[in-house]
Amino acid sequence: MTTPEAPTRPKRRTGRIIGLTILGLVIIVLGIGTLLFFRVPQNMGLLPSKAERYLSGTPDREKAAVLTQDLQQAGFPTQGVSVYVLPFGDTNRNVVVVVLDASQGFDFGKSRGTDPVKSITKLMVDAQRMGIDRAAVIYRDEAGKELVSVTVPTDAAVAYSQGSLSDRQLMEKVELRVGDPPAALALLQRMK
Amino acid sequence: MKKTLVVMALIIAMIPVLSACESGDVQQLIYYAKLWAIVHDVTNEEGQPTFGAGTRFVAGEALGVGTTGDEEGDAAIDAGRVVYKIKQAEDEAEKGRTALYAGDSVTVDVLPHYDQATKLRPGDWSYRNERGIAYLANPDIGDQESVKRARADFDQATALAKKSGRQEEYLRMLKQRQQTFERFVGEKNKRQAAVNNVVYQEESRLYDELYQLTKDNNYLLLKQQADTNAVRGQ
Repeated sequence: MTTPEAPTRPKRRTGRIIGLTILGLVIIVLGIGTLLFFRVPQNMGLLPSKAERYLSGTPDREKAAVLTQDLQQAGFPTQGVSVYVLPFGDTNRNVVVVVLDASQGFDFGKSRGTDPVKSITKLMVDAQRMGIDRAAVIYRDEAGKELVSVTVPTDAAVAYSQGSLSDRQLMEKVELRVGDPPAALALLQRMK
Repeated sequence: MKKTLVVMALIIAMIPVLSACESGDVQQLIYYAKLWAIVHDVTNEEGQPTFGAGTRFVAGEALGVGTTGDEEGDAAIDAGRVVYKIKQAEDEAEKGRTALYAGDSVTVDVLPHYDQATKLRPGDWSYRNERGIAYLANPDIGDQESVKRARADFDQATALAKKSGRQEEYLRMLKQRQQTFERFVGEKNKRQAAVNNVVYQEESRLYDELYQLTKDNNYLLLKQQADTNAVRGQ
């Protein structure tokens, strides 16, 4: 006589193996998803970000120098301010990136009564005249950490400066990202 | 993506702070931040957070569509790391430049900095142009090897500039090479130091290329001058 359990053993083992395989696959998929979600490969430099893919060309230092001078003439504090004009991939388009770096001495408080938004808008208008299609502004805190970055097409800034766009319509064109929310909050509290 | 997600939390957390802010230049920034939150449906007109927006953000991010809507916008808003690398590369190149113009050892004091700059920004032709000229100024490797290495760098710079498919980019690259050559020769003359013949020979080739491209007669004159200098130095 044979025992009734004997033939079921391999089935159980097979079921366990299948179950563990599925569980393992789920864990792997979730792990990969989490890594991609938090852009770990890009942050570790394993995969290039879109910025690295498209903004790897040679900066136009002459245009950047002209724009920096324009900012200075507008009364905007230029200590800790860096301006970069970069070609966008292999296209005719260009992007200007303005870095306001508090760790290098940038201080909104030194704007001598000038409206910082107006100064930056003027820079964007000048940039558009130079054939620059998009502007980005990055703010870094005293530790050099990137707090906020915003971007807007320069033609929107031109339309705004000419009164064809309202504040609200301009803001619709603006994209914003925050790198460090607690630090950005602390900055705003200091501004009070 | 993470940044787009956390912007929700920030704007929501900012509401009481924003409302409490007083006057000043910064008030304008705060006004725009509040307006941005409203038009992007992060808060309502009264400044209260709208959680529907949060759901959309999360869903968008989960589906991998958490972008500004176009590649250019995504690249621009994420440019922080790129400009940080540019700054690092520029600092390295500046060290190389200073050492080159001071007449320091090219092998020890100049090339390592340009190597680092090109490593940080491999798509930037300006550092290849400058390193190429540094090779021509290097007495340690002999004229033949100097020219070989310099031309390799110049060819790479040319390939990078031509990759854009725009003539003006190619011309911009050649003009940057011209400025670097002229500054190098100028600094050498200032120190009354001898300029290696191969520098003038390569400078002559460059002026010829610029003439072919622009048909500007000034480049012919500059080429003649470079040729004369090369012969005089032999």
